[in-house]
Amino acid sequence: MDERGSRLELVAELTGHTDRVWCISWHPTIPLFASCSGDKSVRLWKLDGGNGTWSCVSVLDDAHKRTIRSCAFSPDGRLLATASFDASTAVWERDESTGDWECIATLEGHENEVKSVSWSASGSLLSTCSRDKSIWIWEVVGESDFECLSVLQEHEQDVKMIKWHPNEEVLASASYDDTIKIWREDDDDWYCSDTLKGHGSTVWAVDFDQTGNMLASVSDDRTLKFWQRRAPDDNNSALGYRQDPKWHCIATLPEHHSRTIYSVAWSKVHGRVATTGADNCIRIIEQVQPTTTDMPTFTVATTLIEPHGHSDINSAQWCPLDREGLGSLLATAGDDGAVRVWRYAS
Amino acid sequence: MTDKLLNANPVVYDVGTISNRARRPEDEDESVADPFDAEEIFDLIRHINDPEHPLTLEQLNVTQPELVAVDNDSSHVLVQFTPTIPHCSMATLIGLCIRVRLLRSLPDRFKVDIRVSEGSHQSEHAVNKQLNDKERVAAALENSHLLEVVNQCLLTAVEK
Repeated sequence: MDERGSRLELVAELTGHTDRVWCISWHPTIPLFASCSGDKSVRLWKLDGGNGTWSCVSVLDDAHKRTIRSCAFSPDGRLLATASFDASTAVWERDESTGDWECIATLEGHENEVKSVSWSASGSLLSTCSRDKSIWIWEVVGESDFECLSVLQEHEQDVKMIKWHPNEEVLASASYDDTIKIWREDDDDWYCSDTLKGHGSTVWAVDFDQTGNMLASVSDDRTLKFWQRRAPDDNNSALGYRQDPKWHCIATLPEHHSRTIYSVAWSKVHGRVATTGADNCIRIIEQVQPTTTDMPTFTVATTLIEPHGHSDINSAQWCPLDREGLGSLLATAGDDGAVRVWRYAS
Repeated sequence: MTDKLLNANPVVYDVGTISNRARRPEDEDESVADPFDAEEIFDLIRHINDPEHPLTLEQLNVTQPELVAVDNDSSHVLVQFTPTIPHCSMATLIGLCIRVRLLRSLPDRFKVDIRVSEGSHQSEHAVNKQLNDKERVAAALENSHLLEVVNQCLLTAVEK
C-alpha cells in the first residue's frame, strides 16, 4: 500500500457521551462541531483559539426520547437539526443573548426511526429519511415553521442516509435496498432521476465532492465506490424525454475496509476522502488526476488502525473551514462513546 | 406472541446438563493465557430459551457447537443457528437473543456475526442482513417490549 508519509495526528480526545456516538456535523463558519449519541444527547465541541484546546460548550438533551442518529448544521450555522429513533426530527436555534440552544421545532410524520437529516445548500430545504422507507422534503417557511413538500417512497427498504448536493437542489439517498437514488424537482414535483446500482449490500453513506459532479458511496459490501455525473444522452432529449444527467461508477475500491463501512466524507477544502467502519480503521483516500485520460483514479494515502480502540467508527467528518489549516482537521465518532479530532499531515 | 405455535411439536434432543469440556492442567494455571474457543461461546448460548417453547436452543438443536467459530487472534465470532422450520418467523428474534447474550458476555474487542445456517430458512438473506445491521439492532434494543422478550429468553442462559 502506498502510504506516502502522510499521517493523522491526534489533536483532541473528547469524552462525555455515555453511549455510542453516531454522527458528527461541523459548523459552517466557526471551529465547532456537534456530535450525537445513543445517550439521547447532542454535545457541541468548540476550539478555544487562544490556547488551541477543544472543550464541550453545550449539551442538548431535552428533545429526544431515544437515540439521536444524525445531526446537521444549516448552511448559515444558525440552526441545528437532529434526527432520532423516536421518529422525530428537532430543529434547534442558538439564543444569541444566552448562548443556549433551544428546540424551536419538532418535525413529525415518519412512522419510525429517523436515520438521517440534511440541509440543502441554500438552507431553504431540509430532508429526513427513515426505516419507514420514505424520504421527506421540508421547506423552511418561517422563523420556526417547516412544511412538508414531498414524501418520496421509491426505495424498497430503509433509507439509511440522505445528502444534499453542495450547490444544487439535488438530493442523494442511500438505502438498505443496496441502491443510491438521486432526486430532483420539476415544477414542485420531486422525482427520482437516477438509481445507482452496483453495491452488493446496504449502502450506509454517500458524499459529494466540492463540485457536485462526483459522489462517493460506502457499503456493507466493504467497497468504496466513486460515481461521476454525465450529461444526458442526446437521443433521449430528441425523443422528448427528461434530460437528466446520469451517474456512472468510475472506480471501485474492493475490500476497502475488512468489515462494514459506515461513513464517507469528501473534503470540500482539499478534496481528500475519509472512510471509517466496523474494522476500527480510518482510511484517507486521495484522487490522482491522470494526464492522459479524463478518468480520475484513487489511492489510499493513510490508514489509521484502531484510533478508537476496538470500537467501530461510525462517522468521520472534515472541518469545512478553509483557513489557518483548519481544513485538515477530521473529527471521528466511535462505539466507545469518544469523539476524537485529528490533523491530517501530508 | 401468537397463540398458535408455529411448530407445535418440535423434535427435542437429548443434551448433557453440564459442559462437556474436560478439565486440562493448564486450566488451573493462572499464568497461562486462556483464549476464547468455540466451546466457551457455545456454553454462553446453549441455554437460551426458545421464544415459543419451554426448551433451550440446544434442546431444539437450534444451536450446535459445530456452528460456532471463533478466531481469538482477530477477535471474531461467527455463530450460525438452525431454525426448527424454514419459515420460522422467530428466526430474527432468536438471532437477536444470541447477539444480546454475546454482547453482554464477551469483551468489547469481539466482532460478532450471526447467521442462520445455510439453507435453513426461506428468507435466509433477509434474516442475516437484519441480524448484522447494527443500526437495526440498536433500534430493536430500544424497544422496551422487545427487550423484555429477549430478557425472558436469556433468563435460562444467565441462571446456568
